[in-house]
Parts: sequence; C-alpha cells; structure tokens
Amino acid sequence: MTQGLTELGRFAEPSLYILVALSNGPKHGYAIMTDVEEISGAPLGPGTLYGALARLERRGLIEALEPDERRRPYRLTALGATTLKAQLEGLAGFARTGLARLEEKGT
Amino acid sequence: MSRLVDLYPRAWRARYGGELLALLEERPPTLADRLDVVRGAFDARLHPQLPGGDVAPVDERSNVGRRAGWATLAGALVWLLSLVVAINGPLVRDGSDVYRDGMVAMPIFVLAMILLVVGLAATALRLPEPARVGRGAAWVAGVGLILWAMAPWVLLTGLAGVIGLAVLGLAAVRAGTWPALSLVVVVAVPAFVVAVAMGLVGGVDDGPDTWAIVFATLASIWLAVAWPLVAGRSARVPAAT
Repeated sequence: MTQGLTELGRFAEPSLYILVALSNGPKHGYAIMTDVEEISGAPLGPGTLYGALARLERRGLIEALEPDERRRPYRLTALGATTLKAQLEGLAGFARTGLARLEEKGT
Repeated sequence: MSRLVDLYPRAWRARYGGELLALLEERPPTLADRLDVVRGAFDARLHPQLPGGDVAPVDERSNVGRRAGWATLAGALVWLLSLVVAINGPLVRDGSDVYRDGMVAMPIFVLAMILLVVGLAATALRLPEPARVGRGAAWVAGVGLILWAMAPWVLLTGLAGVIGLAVLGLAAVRAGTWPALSLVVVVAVPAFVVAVAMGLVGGVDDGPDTWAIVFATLASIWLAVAWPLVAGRSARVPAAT
C-alpha cells in the first residue's frame, strides 16, 4: 500500500496520511492531526504524529516553515509531492484491479 | 505536560519539543495520547530521526550501545567465573556416576546470561526499521537463554535461545551491524558443544570437569555479541526515498 514509505515501519501509514493532509497547503501539528483524523476516521496520537513528521522531514518529503509563535507549519516539498503522487497512483491502480476482479466474479 | 516531553532526548526536544508541547496544550491529551507520547519518546531515543544529520542523537545511541557492549564483555568474564565456581563444587557420587554439584554457581550463571541478553537487546534495537524478524528473534533468544540459565536441564529453552540468537545474528549481518565472524561464532560454538554432548567429537574425556572446559568455549558468544557494540558498528543507511 505504501511502497516507498515502507522503510518507515509503523510510521508508513501515518506518513501517507500526513502527506495527504499537507497536499492542499502548509499546516501546523494540530491542523495536521485534525485533518488526518478527518481523512482516516481514526485518531492520530501526538507521539506518532511527531515521529512521522521527523522521518518525513529527514527524508526531504516535507519542510518546516518559520514558526508562528510556538506553532510551526510544515509544507510538502517537490520530492514529497512526487512521492505522494506515486503512492496514490499505486493505490488507485490497486483499487481498480480489485474492483475489476469483483465485477468479473459478479458477471 | 512538559514532563511527558522531557522523556524525549535533548536534541529532539530542542527541535520539536516546543511544538509538541504547544500541541498538547492546545488539545489536552487523553490517556491514549499520553501513552502514544511515551512510545514516541522511546522511539526517538532508539531511532533518532532529526533533520540535517543525526550527529547528537546517534552519539547518544552509540554510547548506550557501547555501554551495553562493555556489559556483555563483562558477561564473558562472569560466565567463566561461574564455571570456575562450578568446577570447585563438591564431587557427588551417584552410583557409578561422578559429577560436580554446581548449584552454588547458579546465580553467577544467571547473571552472565542476563548480561548476554543486554547485548542481544542492544543489537536488536540497533537494527534498522522494520526489523520484526530480528527483534522477534531477540525476544526468543533472550527469554530462552534466561529460562535455560535458571534450569539448564531443560534443553528445549537453550535450543530456542540458540536458534533465536542465530536468527538475530543473521538479521544483524544483513543490516551491517555485525561482522560475519560474529554470526559464525554464535552458530558454530553452540553446534560444537552439542556435538560434544552427542559424542560426535572424539577424544573428549568424560570426567566430572570436562563439561566446564567445553562450556568455556561458549564465552566466545559473549565476545561475538559485545564486539560490534563496543566497536560502534552502525547499520547501513537506507537511501532517501
């Protein structure tokens, strides 16, 4: 599901959600957290959020912007956008294949 | 709230601590959130992921690894000491059998095994993510060896320990944290001891002290585990995504 992010271990899935959350513009930690919870329907813990943010930043997929008081926004880098696109296309292909097979079975 | 953030390493706090604290103040954490932060702090200590290089955290991690390595090296001496104590135990005659009562050496024997498990834990923690097989093997090895140390006559626990050790060693060699020689030692030396026990090695006297001498060769396992930790061997860094 998250090839390319798999080396992040348990942070692979939260990282994908974070990249999606940042895909429509920069967000700080709290905004990312609430957006991810809205997208995934599951809570994202603060420790997991910052573990994933640190990994994504270290790999150059996101970058930190100037902080607004103690809130620091993050934004997707070009590499992050490319990686996210590849991940989502992979998932879309996977979904298409699965749906096609279900339809084949139904006919 | 700040006490939770204090669980993180200093370098991590310097970079993310203020943000995390602000987040926790903005959204008061539930119990699950608190546990998640504790887990995150453990993770930050074990797998430092700071942007722009990981010099400070890696040093911190290496120091912990080195200390574990020295403890494991000390374990080799404790192991040999336990054999010296055992070899000086009273001779017991049971019919035609003559053997040493080594019970007095048992606590030293267990301590040596605990020090080996310290080295195994440090080796497992230095494996790059994901390392489920290697870390699972470390658990099996640790539990198996400690149980065997407490009841050496239950050979199954010792066997599980040795298999776990070999699988962990294989994962460590693949990750680059162990030299191949360490893996050879943790596989070949227990195999040698088993071969002696099964009578496959000729010319070994069956006297009451023979076992202590054969078991002394196992000290090389402590050295094989300790050396990569003391030398500070690091895992190969995966390429950026």
